[in-house]
Amino acid sequence: MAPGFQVGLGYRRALHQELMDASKESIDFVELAPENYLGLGGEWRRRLEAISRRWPVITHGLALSLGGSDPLDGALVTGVAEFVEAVASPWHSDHLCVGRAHGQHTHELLPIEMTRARAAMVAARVRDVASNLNVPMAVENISAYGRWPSDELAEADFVTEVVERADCALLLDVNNVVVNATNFGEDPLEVLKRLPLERAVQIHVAGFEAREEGLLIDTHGSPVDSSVWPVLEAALQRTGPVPVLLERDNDIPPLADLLDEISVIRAIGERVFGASS
Amino acid sequence: MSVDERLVQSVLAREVRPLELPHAEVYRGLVRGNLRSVIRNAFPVTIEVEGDEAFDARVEDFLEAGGPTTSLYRDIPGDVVDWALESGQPLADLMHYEWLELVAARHPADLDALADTDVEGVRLNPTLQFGMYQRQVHLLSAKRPELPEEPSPVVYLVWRRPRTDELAFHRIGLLLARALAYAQVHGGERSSLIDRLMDDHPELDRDAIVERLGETLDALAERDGIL
Repeated sequence: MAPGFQVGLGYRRALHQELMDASKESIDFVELAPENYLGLGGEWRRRLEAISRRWPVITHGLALSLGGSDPLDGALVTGVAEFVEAVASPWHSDHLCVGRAHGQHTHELLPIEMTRARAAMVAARVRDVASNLNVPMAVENISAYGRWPSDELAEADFVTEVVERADCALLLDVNNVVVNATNFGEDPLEVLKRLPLERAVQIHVAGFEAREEGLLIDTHGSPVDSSVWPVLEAALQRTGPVPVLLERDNDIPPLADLLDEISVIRAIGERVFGASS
Repeated sequence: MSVDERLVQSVLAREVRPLELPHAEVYRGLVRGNLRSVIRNAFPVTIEVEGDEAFDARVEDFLEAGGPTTSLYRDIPGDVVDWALESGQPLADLMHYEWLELVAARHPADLDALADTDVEGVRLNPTLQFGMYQRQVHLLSAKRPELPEEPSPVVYLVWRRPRTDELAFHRIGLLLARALAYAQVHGGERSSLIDRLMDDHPELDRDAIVERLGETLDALAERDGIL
């Protein structure tokens, strides 16, 4: 995959045929989760082969539980590493979250207790995973709806501590910055200033749901909110030209609607980097 | 108990347990939604037979009993089937059958390559799954939610066909199933499968076994159950 500003789409099975029928130029890459394909054949493999013949693939994992205290799942790490190599992903990312404790998996991104000790532990786990990969490892900031009273660090400082200790890359989820800033009464642009954007290799944008109690929930089930676009633009000004991915996992609309959002991302990229981007 | 453990146990429990994390109930709702979604997608016929409400209540029971143990989201329905069988849930047989279909559909074997190569003896389709039931589970539907028990267990063979990825099934008795299970592990000629059956059951009529096994293998071969 060529470096620079590119715009991709999170690959979902429901979109497969529309994507295969669409113009190759409509997106620049796709992103998918290795965990959804590891060890699968049949139509899963056929779809993966077809999609990876058309577009570069970036891998984005879900299940490593980088923020958890259970031991890393060695078989999963090995499987992910093999998958990443097979699809020639330029890096592999996963979330700064807890997904498992005492052998129980939640299959949801739960918040880490943001202490210095935990940052050191998470960084060690990231290094451990990275040592199995033949490409760089990136970690993503997650959306959150509650903070542990025992937190010692603000999220931006925790993320910075982890990526610096792990010497890894950052996958900046701009939607999550907006969600968390709203949920915890912060200014997303101020949060951006404190995040280590010089380490960002990729950006995510997605839609959220506003609940009555005032919480924003990162559902990936609606169009990107207009409040996210200025934050994306501000982020790109600091990260430089990196790939931007549109995520849509629920209530998936026709591809044409998603391509409209992708054209908004392209327009922002053109404003920041010039028309040649 | 660590913060992680309290968090995970709280969001998996029937009700959110007292936890110092604000909005823990939001996480619980998200976890429940994710798990319900992958489980519901795996058992469309079971849901059709017993209805949404009853099925969702059983999902809650599954979560209360400990929830999934697999690290892979897609394998959660397998954990549900294990729990349903162990705890004697109604329609556990149908859930198992639906799971076998999914396992065969997703099996990693490269069937197209296998179908293009010849082999000596009986080579069962590697995606072939065995399920043993007391009812003809494939007939269960919203219109036929109840079926009588068969006099003896029926073994279902479920597999994926090369090139089209279409699923196929075939029903056989226990004896032939035993021979095919042996063939799946060890391969071998038809005659060796018959010899094995006769060794285990010398009281059987060899000619009848030859005929029945031959019919079964032919039926399987016709639809790529044997490659």
